[in-house]
Amino acid sequence: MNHPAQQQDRPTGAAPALEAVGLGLQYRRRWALRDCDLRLPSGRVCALVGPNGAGKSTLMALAAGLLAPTEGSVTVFGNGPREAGSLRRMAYLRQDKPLYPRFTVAETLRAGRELNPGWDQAIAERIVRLGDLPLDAKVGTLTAGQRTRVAFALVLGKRPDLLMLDEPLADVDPVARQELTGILMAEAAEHGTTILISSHVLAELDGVCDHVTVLRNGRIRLSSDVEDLLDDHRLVVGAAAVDSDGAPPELAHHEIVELRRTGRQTTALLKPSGAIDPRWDTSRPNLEDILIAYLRTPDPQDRPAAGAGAQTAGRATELTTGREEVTAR
Amino acid sequence: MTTALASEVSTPTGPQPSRQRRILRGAAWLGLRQERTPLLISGAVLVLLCGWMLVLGSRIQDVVESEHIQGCNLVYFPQQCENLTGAAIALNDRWSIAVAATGWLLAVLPVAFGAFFAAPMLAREFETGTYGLAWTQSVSRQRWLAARLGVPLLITLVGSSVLAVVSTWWTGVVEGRFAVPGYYHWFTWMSRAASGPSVVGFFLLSVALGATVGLLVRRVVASILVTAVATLALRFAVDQARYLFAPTREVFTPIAMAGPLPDDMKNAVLTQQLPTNTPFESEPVGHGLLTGDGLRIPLQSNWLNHLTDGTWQCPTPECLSHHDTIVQLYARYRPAGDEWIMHWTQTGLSLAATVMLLGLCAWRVRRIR
Repeated sequence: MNHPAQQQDRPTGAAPALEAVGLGLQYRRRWALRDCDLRLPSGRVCALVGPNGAGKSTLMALAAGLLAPTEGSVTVFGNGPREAGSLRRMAYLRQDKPLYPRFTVAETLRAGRELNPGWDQAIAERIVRLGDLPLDAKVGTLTAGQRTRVAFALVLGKRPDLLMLDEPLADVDPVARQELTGILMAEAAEHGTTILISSHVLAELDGVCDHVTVLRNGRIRLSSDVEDLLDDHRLVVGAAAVDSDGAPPELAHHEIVELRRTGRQTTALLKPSGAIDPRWDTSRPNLEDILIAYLRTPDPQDRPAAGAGAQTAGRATELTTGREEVTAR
Repeated sequence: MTTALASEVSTPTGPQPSRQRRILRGAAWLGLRQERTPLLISGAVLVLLCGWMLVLGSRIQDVVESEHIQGCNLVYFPQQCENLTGAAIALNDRWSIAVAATGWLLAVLPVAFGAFFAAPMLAREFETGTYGLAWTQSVSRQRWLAARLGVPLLITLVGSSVLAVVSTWWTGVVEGRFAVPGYYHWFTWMSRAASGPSVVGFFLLSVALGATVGLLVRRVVASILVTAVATLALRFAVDQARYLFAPTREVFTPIAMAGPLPDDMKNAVLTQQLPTNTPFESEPVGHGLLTGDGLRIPLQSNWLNHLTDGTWQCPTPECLSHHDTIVQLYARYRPAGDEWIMHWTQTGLSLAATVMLLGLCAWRVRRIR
């Protein structure tokens, strides 16, 4: 209720496309999402990344108004997601892509037109036609990939200002994937659509999104612009440190995101502060390298809660903690 | 021709077959399209059943008229029918099974409609996840629900009204003419379940109940079973309350009861129906004997031994011990005119329950998270 966007009557144009404040959802005992603070400015293409069960779908369903939060709040362009105005401005493609199986493709598109005042039949039909889908085919007889295409037509035909896609391209072939991604990007560029897209396929996000949010165990692990992320991180490779328990002393003053040892070789993803020791082979990581590193290591904030007995946190992780404490001093 | 031409002109990008016919718009179109197949099947059942009732009813009517047995049936045997009972019995032998089957069908139909049509409506949306599709369009959940239930309810209203007209006529034709226990009088269960506005009320109640169960249970098969049981329970409750606004009336007739019979009188008895003086076709609710000081002695049967001196033989010890003070025969009943009060009470109760269930749906759909 103390949400800033609700307190002051901001013009909707200025409000972020999606804003979550302390958002949490509890299923019986388990928190599917907790303490989620996220601000997605209008016009961004944001990737939502995280392992299975991290809370990606929960976050989207909360923003779409299908779920009601246990705590905190979420707004879409400054308004509650269940308000008619918000429903009109956003589209949500669920992971399981529910469609009416007894409708034909044409009837499915008609349902989109009947239920959405801003319906764009042309874009919806274009998407369907590009997949060579007969308009009179029953949706229930289509393959998973074809159904994805119809679901895509439905969300894009709605002409949303905020488009949320949950694992949208998991079951389409590579050619169609590229084609649909192309349409998506063209739409986003042409209409300034804000897109929140979750995916396991990290490689396909590179070059598509300009913002990335990493979720882990129901919490936000990282949320940053892709450019900043690429600029701020370095991948370094060098000989294993003498001290087998600690981090290599020459990297100690950098923030180590992840440290891995294979035999005598040590690989680390760093957020460098100052110059890196020239004995280490330094390269610019790609987005996938960075995201995998963050996905593999737990959030530092989670660690006290995880307890000392939790052995799942790797040694490299513990090392990172030590280094951070050093940095903090 | 002109409309086809106009639509071609207005959509130069290409043919859009779905844009030609637009009877319903928005969510209402969706509501109709989603239930199209079950509604067509229900419509076919309605047409077949009405056709069957009209054909069978007309044939029975024809026999009744050609044999001149309008006033004679299996329940009442007026004096003037003595030599016509053969025709009435032949009619019963010929059609009673068909009449019984039709009566059962009419009684079961609203329950089956609720279970097999209404219960899956919303339950399937939740089972297949399509509710999430509908709820993320530009239409609020309440409007979606209104269309999703409003369209089937409206069609049910029309269809069941047609059925009510035909089945009311049919009930009037077969009532009392066949050895089908539910079809003897206006107040027996088959007659009262399948005639008048009650039919419409029962169908609307079944649909609302099925939809509510579907929304709460969210599983198709479970919803069907729960709806069937809940509909029967609710129908029973409505049936129990059918005389809420039809209080019983009482009629008194002077009567003289005999004391203990002398041995020589025992053969001079004739079993006869007590002259309760209730109006024709009224529902008997109870009868008994009334003493001068107001004591009521209920009787089980209305057939008693009538003695030659005009007195009646006491069937119970209690009667026997008070026989000299008994002055009147009382009979409680509901006249035939109460049939319509009964039907409107059943209808009103069904509609009230329907409205409450729809309110529950509207409240529930807001809270589903």
